[in-house]
Order: sequence, then structure tokens, then C-alpha cells
Amino acid sequence: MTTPPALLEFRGYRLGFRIDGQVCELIDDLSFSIRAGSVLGVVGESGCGKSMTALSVLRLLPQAAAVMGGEILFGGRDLLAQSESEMERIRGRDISMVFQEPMTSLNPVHSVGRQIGEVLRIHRPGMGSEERRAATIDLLRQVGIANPEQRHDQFPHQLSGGMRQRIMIAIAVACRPQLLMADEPTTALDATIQAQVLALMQDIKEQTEGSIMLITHNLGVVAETCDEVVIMYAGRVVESGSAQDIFDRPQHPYTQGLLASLPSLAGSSGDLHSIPGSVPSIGNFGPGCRFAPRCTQRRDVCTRDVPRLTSIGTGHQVACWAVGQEVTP
Amino acid sequence: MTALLEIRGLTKHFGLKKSLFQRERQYVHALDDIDLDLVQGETLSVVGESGSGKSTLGRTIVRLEQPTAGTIRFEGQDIGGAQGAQDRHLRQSIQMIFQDPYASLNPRLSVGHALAEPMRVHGKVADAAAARAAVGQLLERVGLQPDMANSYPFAFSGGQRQRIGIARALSLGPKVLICDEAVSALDVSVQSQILNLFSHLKRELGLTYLFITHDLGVVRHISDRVMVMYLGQVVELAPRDAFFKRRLHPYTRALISAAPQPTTGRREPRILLQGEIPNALNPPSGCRFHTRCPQATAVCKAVEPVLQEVEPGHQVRCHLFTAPA
Repeated sequence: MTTPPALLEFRGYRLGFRIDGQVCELIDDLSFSIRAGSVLGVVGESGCGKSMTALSVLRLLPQAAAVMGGEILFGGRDLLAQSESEMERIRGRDISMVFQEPMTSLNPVHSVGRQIGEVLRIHRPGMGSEERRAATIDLLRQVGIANPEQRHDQFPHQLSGGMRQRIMIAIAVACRPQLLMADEPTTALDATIQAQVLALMQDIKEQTEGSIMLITHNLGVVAETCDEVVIMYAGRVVESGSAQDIFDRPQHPYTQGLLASLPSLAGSSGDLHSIPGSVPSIGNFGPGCRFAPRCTQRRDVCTRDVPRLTSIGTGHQVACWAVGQEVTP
Repeated sequence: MTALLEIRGLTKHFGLKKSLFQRERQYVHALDDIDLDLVQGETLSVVGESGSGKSTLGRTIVRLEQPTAGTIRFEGQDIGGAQGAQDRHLRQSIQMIFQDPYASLNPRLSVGHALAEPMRVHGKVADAAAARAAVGQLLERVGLQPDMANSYPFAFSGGQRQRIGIARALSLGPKVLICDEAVSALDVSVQSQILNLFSHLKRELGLTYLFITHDLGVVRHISDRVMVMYLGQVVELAPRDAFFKRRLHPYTRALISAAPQPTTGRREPRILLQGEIPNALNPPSGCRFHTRCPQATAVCKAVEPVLQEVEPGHQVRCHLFTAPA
């Protein structure tokens, strides 16, 4: 069996934030890759750096952020080394993104048709305006919007939350990008609408034969849509593997704790499992494993040295002193 | 069994501003004719999508909204007409916890100050020393340290802030807590801590909860009974286990099947509803769910179903379960 080449690969990526004149490290030694045609879930709690990971790919980081090292390879090219004008060509054409809150990402004073058409105007300059309108209406139809001819000329405030998110997806897939990143795309939506949007993303992926990087805190969404999963905690990958590895054979105490904390639809009685304490904030990380202060399996080495991401099975990696690591005395 | 809270025919319509050319004012039907008994010591979960009226129900019970029609009785007393001492007693007895603990805490008040204020207003503490002691006890009760009273909200994490919100709701010794999406904004690892805190408080203080949420996993864990709302109406109300096992109403079935499960095994086929929740300005004719219902028939479009008890304690509003007349 040969594995298809990676479409996107993080290699030793490090990112910090300037706080009071000092650079505090958030993302440390991030290394993972997405294969062409697969759906990768990046999971973590607030502040773990998962959104910054996606923004790093598009080089749309906030002002205070500072890249401290590493590479982000897209089809073999380091995105961090591209010029700004080259990035403008890549954004929207090769890599695009869907954000959590469609209302704040759409421009309220332009019709949705114009906003979808804008992507085509920029990346397909040869296209005439009639042709562009037809292509836009076709996109609206593809993302499941009824009466696309009328909706084309409507404004974001005339649409519901679910429809706005469909518009965002239409904008993102207008140029059939190889990589679609989605940052909590269904978190603001109701359950029945979330199910519709997730089904739509799956359809789109199959039609365009692209890859999806799904950033979310919702483990249920990940289990249902992703082939591979990366679990982040406080700026580091603690575990990665196939969805089966993560949900059926979780190894890291944090992954195990997260899964056990979820109240299940199958029913549970008594107290829920809970991980004591809370996620440390940037600038307050200890020298060793960042999860150590909350970990029930903590040993001396955990607070002293950083555990490396170690392979414990095909494609299954864990960064924990208790799992598959050689402890140096 | 007598009900602690008796709600009868509760209706809330929000009037929209009339535009120049409109003859009649339009109304959002947020709550339509809700009947509900909340029994002492139970946890009743209210489930529904946005626009179902679940938050309006909570806000009307704590009197942040005036009902358009209907009555709410607490321990037999009508809440609507209460005045003076009776009014103060009612307000102490029913407290609310909100979704976003940061938005509901005053950033310029220390936590101790924020917790002491309701007790001072209601004359629960005699002097500053008594207030300090009471605040210390409250903080310990919700799993925080008493010396945190001098800190300000920004210094706390999301989970800690929600603990402060809970402490404030507890400060007046309430009997009923209305929790409106109280754990929805929290991270998974913190959410389970707060859910456990709710269970402990219920046992220790004999509290009664109205738990408004959209997360069915949370509902399954915490509830004694579950109520589903759709466009301002109750569509199903049942004891928890019967609710998850029987799932009578087609909307309930769709909601449960739409909840993503954190497992990789075989799943039951998903019921994907068409379309979105209709506008509450003019709800659909007949059954309000008929526009999205996979099992709708001609009668659903024409005749509005009534909420009927189909098994002891299990009520459904659907023509599929209505006995032929």
C-alpha cells in the first residue's frame, strides 16, 4: 500500500505572540500533514492554537503574532516563503476558508451573488460578467440554496444563519480549491441545520476531490466527518491518528479525559468524568508537558522535559511520557 | 404530587414596530399556550432550536418578560400580581444563570462585591463582616477559594466565571434555578466539571432546575424529564428514558438523529430535515412542523394538532398519535 503524498505539511512550525514587548510562544513544534482527498480534524479547547494553525496556512495572522520557525509546505512549496502577491493568488484559488460566524464574514452592503462572483472575478479574469453570473447561480444551486436566481441578488441580512453559511461555502469552493479549511463551521448553527451543512461539506468534497481541514472543539462532528484527527493542547499536538485510533484507542491522558467528559446520548449515571483545573493561558506554560498540571498520570519527568510525538502504530502518534517514551534518567 | 411551579396557558407575543404602509402590527409568536408543571426537586430540560421560544420561557418565568397571556404560579401564588414583600420573596426563590458568564458579570465589581450585592439589596446580611463570611461560603460551595472574592472577573477562566454566576444565583437561597445554555459556552473538559457541580448542588440544596439547552448529550445526563419546543409550542414532553427510547414526535426523532456522536461505530441512519425553522412572525398553518416533517399528510397542513397524553406522563403534539375521533 502506498500512501498518497501530503497536500499540506506542517514541519516544526512555531508561533508566538508579542505580549508587553516579549514574544510568548504558543504553538510549539507543530508537525502534521493532510493527504490529498482526506478530511483532517484539528481538535482542541479554546486557546490551544487551532484557529491560529489555520490562519497560519493563509498567512492571515493577527498583528501581534510572530512566526518563530518551521515550514508549512503546500504541494511541496513553503507557504511561509511566498511573496504577498503569490499568497493573494493562492488564497481563494488553491486554499480557502470558511469561518464560524457567517454574518461577520459577509459584507452587508453587497449582494451575495456579487460576493461569490468576486472570487471568480479575481481568479478567473477571462470570465465575462454573464458567464460569471451563470457560474455564481450554479454555485448557489450546488450548496443547496432554493431559488438561486432570486437569492443571487439578495443581501446577507435577508438570509438565515444556515443559508449564510451555505453562501460562505459557495465563496470558498468557487474556484474548486485543493484545500478547504473550515473553522468551527457549524458551531453557530442549530442541530438540524448543522447536520445539513456537514452533509453539504461532504458532498462538496466528493465533487471537487479536494481535502478538508476541519477545526472544531466538537468531538461528535469530528467522529462523523474526519478520516484523520489531530488533538491539540496548549499549542502542541498531544495525539494524532486515524479517527478509529483516536476514538477507539485513545492513548494520551488528555484525549482519554476529553472523551470520558462528554455526556453520552447512550446515557450515563452518577458524576461525569472531569479533568481537574483549566487550560493554561499563553505565557503560563511549564517547562515539561503542558498538560502535566492537570494529568492524573503525572510523574517527575512530565514537569521537567517535553515529551516528543512518538509513533505507537501505523499513523498513530502520541506525545506522553507514560506512552511509548524512553525516559532518560 | 404538587407542582412547585405551575404554568398555565403561557403566551408571549412580541409586537414588531408597524411600518408606514402596514395596517396591522405583526407579532412574533415566541410562546403559545404553554402548560407546564415543574415538580419540587426535578430537572426539566427544555430543548429546541433558535426561535423555538425556549429562552423566552425562562425569561418569562423570572419575569424579565411580561407574558401576553396566561399565569405562572409559584407555590400556589400567582407571580404576575405579586407586590411588596411577596414580590421580593418570589424574586429570591427563582434565579437564573445565563450562557455567557463574562457578559453577565460587571467587570468593574470585584467578585465579592457582585456576590454581596443581591444579599444586601434583599436584607440577607446585617453588615459588611456578615457579607464577607456569606460570600466566602458561597465561593467554597461552588468550588472556588474564599480569598478569590477580591479579584475581578477578568482574572478568571470561563469555567470559574460560570461558577461565580452560579454562586450569585445561589446567594439568595433560591428554590428554582433557570439555566439558559449554562454550559454551552464552556470547553468540554470544563463543561463536565460544571455539570457535576449542578448535580451536587441539587442534592445538597434540594434545588429544582429548568435546564434550557440544545445539547442532547447534556439533556440525557442531567434531566428527569425532557420537553421539546418548536416555534413557541411544546411538541413533546416525557420522562427522560421514555423520551430517548420512544422519541414519538418526528421532530424529536430528527433532533436526536442529528446530534453528532463521538464514536466511529455503526450509526443509525440520519434523518436529514429539509429547510429551516420557519419565521415565527407567521407560523405555518395546521401543525407548525408540517413544512419540514417527513411524515406530513394533508391533515397536518389543515388542522393544528393538540398536545395529548399518549402514555402516562408522555405528551405529544402530532396527528400520528391522535386517537381517531
